[in-house]
Amino acid sequence: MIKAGVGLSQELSNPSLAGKLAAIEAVGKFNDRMPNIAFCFSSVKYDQQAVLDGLREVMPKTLIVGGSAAGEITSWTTVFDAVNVLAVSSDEIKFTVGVGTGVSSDSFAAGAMAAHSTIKENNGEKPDLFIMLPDGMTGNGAAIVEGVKSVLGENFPIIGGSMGDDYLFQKTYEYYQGKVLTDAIVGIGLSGNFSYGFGIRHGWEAVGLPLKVTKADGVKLQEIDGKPAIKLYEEYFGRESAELVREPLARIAYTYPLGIEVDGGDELLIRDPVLANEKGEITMAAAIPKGSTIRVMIGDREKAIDAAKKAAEISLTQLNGAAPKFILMFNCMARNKLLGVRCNEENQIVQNTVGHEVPMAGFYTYGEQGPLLGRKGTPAYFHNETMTLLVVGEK
Amino acid sequence: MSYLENAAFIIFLAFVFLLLFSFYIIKRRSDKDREKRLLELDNIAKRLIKRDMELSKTREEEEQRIKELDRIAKMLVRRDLELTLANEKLRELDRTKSEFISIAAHQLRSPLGGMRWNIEMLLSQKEITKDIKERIKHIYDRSKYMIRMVNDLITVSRIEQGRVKESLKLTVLSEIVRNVIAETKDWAWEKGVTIELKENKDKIPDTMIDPEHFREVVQNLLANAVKYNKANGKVTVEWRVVNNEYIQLNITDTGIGIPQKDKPRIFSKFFRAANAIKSDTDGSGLGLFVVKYYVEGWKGKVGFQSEEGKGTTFYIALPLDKI
Repeated sequence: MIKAGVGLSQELSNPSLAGKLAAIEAVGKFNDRMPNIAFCFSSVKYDQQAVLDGLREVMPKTLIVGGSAAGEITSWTTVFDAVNVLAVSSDEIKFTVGVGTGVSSDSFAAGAMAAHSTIKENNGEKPDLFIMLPDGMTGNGAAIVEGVKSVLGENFPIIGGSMGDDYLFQKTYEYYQGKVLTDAIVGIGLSGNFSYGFGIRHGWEAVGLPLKVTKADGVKLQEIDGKPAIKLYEEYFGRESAELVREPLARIAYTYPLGIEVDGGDELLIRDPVLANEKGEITMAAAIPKGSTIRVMIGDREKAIDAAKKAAEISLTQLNGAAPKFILMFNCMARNKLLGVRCNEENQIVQNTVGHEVPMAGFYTYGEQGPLLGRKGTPAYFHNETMTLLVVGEK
Repeated sequence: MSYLENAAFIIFLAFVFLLLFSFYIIKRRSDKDREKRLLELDNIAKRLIKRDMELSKTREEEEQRIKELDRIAKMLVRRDLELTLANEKLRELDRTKSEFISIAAHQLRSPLGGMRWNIEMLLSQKEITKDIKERIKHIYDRSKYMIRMVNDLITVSRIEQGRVKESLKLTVLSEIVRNVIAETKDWAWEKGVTIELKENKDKIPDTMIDPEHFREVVQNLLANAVKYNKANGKVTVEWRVVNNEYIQLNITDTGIGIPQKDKPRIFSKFFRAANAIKSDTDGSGLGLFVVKYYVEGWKGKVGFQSEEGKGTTFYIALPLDKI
């Protein structure tokens, strides 16, 4: 039997109480038992450790994981400045957690470390499914995914979302065993008798001519078609590069990311620009290798909502008739910006497609991880701007 | 030389002449052929050059068109960016406004509650004169109205900030409707308005809904039907299950109606119809906005039919399978 509950609190003046109230609400319907695991996503406006201490008071023995977010998503609404909790209890699923640190110095190694430590916790066995929650501001998102895959296997089912910080683009936090970390990746392994579905789609469209990346170094995109990378956005935005360097480029460019063609997908793989420097280089959320053909992408509200619906449908199909028990949503913060007042619409469409009564929790991310289009048995990638869903069902 | 020799010589000469002549003819013909062929080749070459020029012109045009499209794409992205940023600024302003309303409303609610409590105490005093009691009663009614308005403001700011939480419970809708009618009857009677609940045989199934929000919807619709009614007016409340697909609640009044020009804006927040403002009745212009928000959240429909001076019917329809 899988039981799940969601709780939300907006007690900004008292972070520990906020954690406690969200936790109480999440376990409110469990009656007889405490959850095995609690996923907690919180605004950075709260003292992070105080929030987790509040949770701990309510559920002393539960595994607590999660991190800071750029907006909190629950079954009934999408809010900011909140703490939300998804608590899960199950006899059929064994949850194990691991951690990797030092994402900024070696993203690949941090990813591998998180996978190793999760396996170690699982008595040396690979889990059946791996959820990753990496830092969203440091390191190379794509290299973290490669690191995880190097340990678990190329086609291992991996899904997750990178933590956020309310659009400040300064520092994100990861929660591991009830403690607050940064520059880390938290891994959660699920093993046992359960069913699951992935749903991954963005709905962004390419505009303008294809361009070649002529110089790149890790996450730094240096030259496009032989010109400094920032020239691209200068031309598209009609603004001087000095203006684009002054504040995080992500703030104005998140709805116009870059798309890369990848085999096996009918959508381009998206990479978000994060920061630009005086040299005209752009730091991306994940690396775009030299030689890649890229296009500037643009979002359309209707297509984005339609993509969310499709993602939900795919995830439901993958359950093969099993009853969905909870939904974890990793939704890109750019989608919130694109949809504006309609942001609830896409989250509600997911809720209604998977099931009105299925507990759902998630957060607005700075990056997402999972296989292209959510296809099981295919390699996981780092994504941006993408609606990423994990639906866990009871066999 | 004999005659025969002469004849042979002449024949030989004639033969040589014929040979030379035919050579000449053949050569002339082949020269002509060559000329013709050269001409043809020349024509082909000219045609090829022309085609090549045309092709390169098309290619140039094509490249030009691609460049043009790319330029337009960039221009559109620029416009899109400007709109997105402007929209974001508006959202930010709207958020600041909502926060201000929320803070102001919360700050007002506590002192208003205190005032009402004190006025209630004063009203219960026996030694005050009838005249003073009436004045205090007036203050009491006004304070109640202000509290209602502040509550409406708080609800609206919650809606705007996406902080409305639905607590779904299996609810007997008809019971809530009956309760709200009972609570409103006295106030309606004071205004000379009667409320009638038309019962029918349709069984209203119990529904998963937030009972408090549903109560608020019925309260708002019924309060409007009473408030904007005429003296000796009537309010009729009616239930129906339509096609086994949805439940419909109609609230009909015999009041002032909604002017044609105000109909499109009747569900907008802070909007009141011109004749409603003139009628000297209190209202925040928020009730119908709240009704629409809740009903549409339940995937239902809300609408009205109205004739100025004759009355209005507001209806809500809730789908049976979605709520």
